[in-house]
Amino acid sequence: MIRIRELRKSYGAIRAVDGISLEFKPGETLGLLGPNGAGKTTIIHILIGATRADSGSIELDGVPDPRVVDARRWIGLAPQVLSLYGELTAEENLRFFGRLYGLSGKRLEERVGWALELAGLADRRGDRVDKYSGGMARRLNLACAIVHDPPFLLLDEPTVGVDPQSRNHIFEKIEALKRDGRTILYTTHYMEEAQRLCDRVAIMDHGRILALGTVNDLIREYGGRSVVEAVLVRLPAPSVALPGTLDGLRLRFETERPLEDVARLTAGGVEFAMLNVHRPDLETVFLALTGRRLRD
Amino acid sequence: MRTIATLALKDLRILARDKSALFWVVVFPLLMAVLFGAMFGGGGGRERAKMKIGLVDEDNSKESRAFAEQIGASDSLAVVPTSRQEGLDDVRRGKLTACLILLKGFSRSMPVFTDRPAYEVGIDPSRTAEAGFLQGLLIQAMFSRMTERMADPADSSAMIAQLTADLCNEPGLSAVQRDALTSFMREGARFFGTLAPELAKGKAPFGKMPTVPVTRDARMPTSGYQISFPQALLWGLIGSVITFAVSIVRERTLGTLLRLRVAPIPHIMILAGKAAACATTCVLVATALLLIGIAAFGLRVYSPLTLVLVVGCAATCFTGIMMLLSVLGRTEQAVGGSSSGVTIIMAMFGGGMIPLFIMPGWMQAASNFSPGKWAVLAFEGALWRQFTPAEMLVPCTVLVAVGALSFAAGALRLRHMDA
Repeated sequence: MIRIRELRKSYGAIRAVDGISLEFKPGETLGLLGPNGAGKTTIIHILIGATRADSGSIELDGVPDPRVVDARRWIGLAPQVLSLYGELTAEENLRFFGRLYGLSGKRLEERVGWALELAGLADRRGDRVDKYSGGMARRLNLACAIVHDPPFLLLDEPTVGVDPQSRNHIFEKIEALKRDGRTILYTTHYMEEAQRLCDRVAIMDHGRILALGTVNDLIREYGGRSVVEAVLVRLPAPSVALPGTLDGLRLRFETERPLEDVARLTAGGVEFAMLNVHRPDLETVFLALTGRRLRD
Repeated sequence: MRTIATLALKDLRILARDKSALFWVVVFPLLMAVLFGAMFGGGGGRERAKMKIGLVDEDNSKESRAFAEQIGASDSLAVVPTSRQEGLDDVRRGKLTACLILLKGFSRSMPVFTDRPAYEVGIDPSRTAEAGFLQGLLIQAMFSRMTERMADPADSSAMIAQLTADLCNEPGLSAVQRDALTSFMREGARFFGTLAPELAKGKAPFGKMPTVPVTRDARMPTSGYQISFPQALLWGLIGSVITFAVSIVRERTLGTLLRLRVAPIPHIMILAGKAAACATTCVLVATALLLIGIAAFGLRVYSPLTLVLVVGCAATCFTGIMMLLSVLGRTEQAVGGSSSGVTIIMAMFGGGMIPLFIMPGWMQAASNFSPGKWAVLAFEGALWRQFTPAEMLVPCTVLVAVGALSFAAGALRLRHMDA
């Protein structure tokens, strides 16, 4: 069990983390979604003991201080910056980090092989990392975090700067890790990633959590209604009541149940030349909570 | 211990694959050793340096040729026949140290004690030591030649007869003085006639410097490489120090330090791993340079066991310095630049550029504050200074103390920076 209570950290006048409280359920993937500078990475650094919090408390499996060596044994970290030795091969990197966690002999060999397979780098295991593409290095960065088989993973923006193919590969592997029952803290500023991978999402800005819940709960609570935009073939009979606004043949309306409303209109004889349904997403939630877009 | 070895091996593997770092750690010091060793006189088996002079024989007589031969036979001179103009020009250009001109009438003037000069010497006025040295050699040659002539009764008689005639022709001599002089010279000729057989045996050479056999002090470098290899060892240590000081910062900027800090190992162990890698590199570099020195440049080791101790102490010292240098900045550029600056000054005052014994007094006093000086001194102590254990205690203690203090200060600062 991991608990964070009232965590605060400032760098001079800047409040990087401002009273954050979180509790991880075993086996869940919790996403920290927010723009750059929201405080996501600082929380991770405090969790691993690399940064000291100004106040607040952390509990890692009953240990109150992450700087205690044993508390870190079951954490795996994939830092946002590619943290690899370019002069070493993928296999050497994995062996090195595995040994630091006490792996040796057959167990080390097994884990290194498993991590290479997971990263899709088994056939490039003997190549120096500085010869890798960005996507390959990013996959190895993830593999180094899990080579020692940790139950708790801290993945700090693990898809930054990768090609769509590698990105998809990483998604699939994280989903596999989820199925294994690992608890994951996943930071990102891509709402699609949070929506796809996270069981719960904490929306962050300026060091604070603005909202926390499942994706559906957040959308339901903060996303507002769906917007339907349509172009009609012809004007319907006066007996058919159209919702929203009609501008020529262009119809626009907001609704809680877009599909049901469209079905009702079709049954009433309305014909659509074009139909768009905009469902609210986390971007809409963020916009509603902060007044700006995630990538502003 | 296993973790420290894992960390150190990783760093050594990275170093082994970094060609530019290897150059500065091994190749550059070796080049320094070879270059400076050659400058300081190389392997010691070479010909002794001779003073190169030009010789102009304007008299071109039997006597001037014999004198020129005498001069040419000197161990200390390399004589090049030349003309007056060319010889003097070569002195001006620095191609010759001096130009000796045997003047017209040399054979008449040379014997002795006349106002007429027998020869002239053209030499750079700033080279006073060489001028004095050359004058001594010329006087020695002159007396040697005179001895040879005295050994020949006929030549001796002719020489005295000519001298008598020259003296008697000097204006201002009274008849009484002239008679007395003639009588004196006649008796002198008779005396030299009796001495001729002894002179011919070479029993009474004139002007030859009496020498006492002296055995070279064993506590002196036997070749230039004995001086240059301790300097090269210092440069090798410095190269290792800069490489690892930068590598600590590099771990931070790359993010690998963060990954290391998540691992279940104490922070001090990360530093210990880095220190172990640096110390191992220092030992390997020193060993490699020494082995190359011994195998290829005839480097002599007075005390191999002491040398092993010195290598250990120097590695300890420079590992500590590495830790201190690594906290001089937060970027690779900052640490690389400041480390280079500090270590160059350390090497300059420590004897890495100019040998300690050549340094002026003030610089030698200042060198006491450079760990480089104590490292070079300790290496020299084990190679050729023949330090006793008591003498070796001082540099070794200084090296270990500096290393321990620097490591502690650097580790504390690093801990503070990473907090």
